[in-house]
Amino acid sequence: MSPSRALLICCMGIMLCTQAVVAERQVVLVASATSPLHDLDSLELRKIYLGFPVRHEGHTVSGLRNTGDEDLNRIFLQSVVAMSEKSYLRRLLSLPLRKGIPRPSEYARPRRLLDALLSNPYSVTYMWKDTAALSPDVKTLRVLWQEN
Amino acid sequence: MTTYNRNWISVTLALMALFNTPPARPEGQQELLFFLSAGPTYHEVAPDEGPEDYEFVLDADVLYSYLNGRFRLLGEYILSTEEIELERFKLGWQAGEETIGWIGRFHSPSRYWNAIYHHGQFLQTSISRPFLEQFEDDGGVLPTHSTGLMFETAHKLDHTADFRLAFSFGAAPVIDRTELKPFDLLDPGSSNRAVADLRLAYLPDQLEENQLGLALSWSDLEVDGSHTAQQQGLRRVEQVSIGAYLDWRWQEWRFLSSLAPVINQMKRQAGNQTDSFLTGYFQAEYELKHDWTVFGRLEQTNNTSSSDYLDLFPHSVTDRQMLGLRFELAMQHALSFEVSRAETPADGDFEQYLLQWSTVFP
Repeated sequence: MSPSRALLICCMGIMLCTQAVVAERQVVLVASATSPLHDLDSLELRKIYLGFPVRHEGHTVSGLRNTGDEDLNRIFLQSVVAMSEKSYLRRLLSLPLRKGIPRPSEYARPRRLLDALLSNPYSVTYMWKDTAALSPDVKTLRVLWQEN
Repeated sequence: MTTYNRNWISVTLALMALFNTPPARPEGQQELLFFLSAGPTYHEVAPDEGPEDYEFVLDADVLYSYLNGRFRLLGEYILSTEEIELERFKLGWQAGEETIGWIGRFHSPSRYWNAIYHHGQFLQTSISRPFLEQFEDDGGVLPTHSTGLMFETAHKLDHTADFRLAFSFGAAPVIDRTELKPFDLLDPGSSNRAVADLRLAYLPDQLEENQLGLALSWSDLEVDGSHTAQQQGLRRVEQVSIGAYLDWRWQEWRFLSSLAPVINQMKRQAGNQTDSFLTGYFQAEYELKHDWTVFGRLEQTNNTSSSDYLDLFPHSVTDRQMLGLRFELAMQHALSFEVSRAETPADGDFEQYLLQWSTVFP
C-alpha cells in the first residue's frame, strides 16, 4: 500500500469516527439521582425557566442555568425557552422587577452546578449527555436536543 | 428622623451591594439589581416664560427580591438627583400556583405601564412616560402608589390563554402644594384617605406578554397644602378612572396604548362639582437590525383648559408628539434619544430634547 493511499484511508477513518461522535451529541435534562422528579414536559420546562411556578409534591421546581458552554447556552435558548438571548435577558430582568422573584441561578463552572443540583432534589438543569453519563449523582429525565 | 431613616437605608443598600453574592441555598433565593440611567434634558419653555431650561438627571434604582417557599419580599429604593424615596416595599404570600397576596407599598395595578416597567428605565424603550402613567412627583395627576393590600390571580381559559386579575386597596396620596404626594412608609402622614385599583387582563398566550385589558381606579384625595385648591375652596377630590389598554408585539413591531376618562368629584366648601377629562396615548416601536429601535408616541388630553382638577397641576405635560431612537450595546446598556413637542396647561407647547444612557447590573 502506497503511503498516500494509507494516509487517505486514515483521514477517512478519522472523519467517519468524528461524524459518529458528533451524531451522538445530545443535550439532556437532569436532576439529582435522589430526586423524586421523573419527567417534565416542554411546557412545564419553559414555565420553569420563564419564572412561572411549577410545583411537584408541594415543592417548587427550580431551573438552574448552565452557562459555561456557549453551544449549550445557544441550544437552551432555542430548544427550551424559544427566545433570543436579548429577549430572554429582558424576560428574566422583569421577574424580580414585577414579581419579586429572583432570576434562575446561573453556573459557569460544572462543579458548582453539580453541587447546586445535588443540594436541592427539586431542581433541574441541562447538560451534554456525555457529561451526564460521567456523573453517577445525576439522572437523566429526558433528551432536550439531538444533533441530526 | 426621616432623613436619618433614608441615610440608614442608603448605607445598608451600599453594604448589601458590596457583599451581594449569587443565590445558592435551595431554601431561599435572593437578588439585588441596580438599574442606572443618566443624561441631559433640554426644553425650551414657552418664550414668555424666560430662558431655556437645562438639567442633568442621574437615577439609581436599587431592587431587592427574596423568595423562600411561598414567601416573597420586594424592596425598591430610588436615589436620584431629583428624589430619594422608598418606592416599593411589600411582603407576599403565594396562596396557590397562580394566586398571591401582598402587603406593603406598591405601584397601583391600574397603571399598566408602571406595572411592567416600574423604575427599570433600561427595560423601557422610551425615556419619557405618558401623562397617564406619570409618577406623582413627575407631574402625574392620577395615583400611582398605594400602601395597603394587593391580590393577584390568574385563571386559565384553555391550554394557552388566561385571564389575570390584580386588585388593591390602600392609602391614597394627598394633594400637596404642587403635586400628589403618596403615603410614605418612612414618614407616614395622617390625612391619607383610601384608593382602590383593579386591572383585568386577557393574554392569548400565558407565556408571552401580548395582552389587552381594563383598568379601574377609585381614589379619595385629601387636599393638604395646595394653595390653588384652597383658593378654589376645595377640601377633597373623589376620582374615578375607567380605562382600557393594549400591549401587543407583532414581528418587529410593538404597540402600547391606553385610554382613560377621568371623572373628578370636586368636594368644595360651597358644594360639589363634577369635572372630567379624557386622556390617552399610543406608542409604536419598531426594531431595526443591529440593535436599533425607532419609536414614537402620540398623547392627547382633552378639557385641559376647563378642568379645575388639572388647574392644580399647571406644569404637567398633558399632550405630546414624540419621536425617538434607541441603540442597545453590550447586551445590558442602551443609549436613547428623544425629541418631543410637549404641552402643559400653564406653559403652552414647547420642544423637549432628551438623551439617556441606561443599564442594569449585575
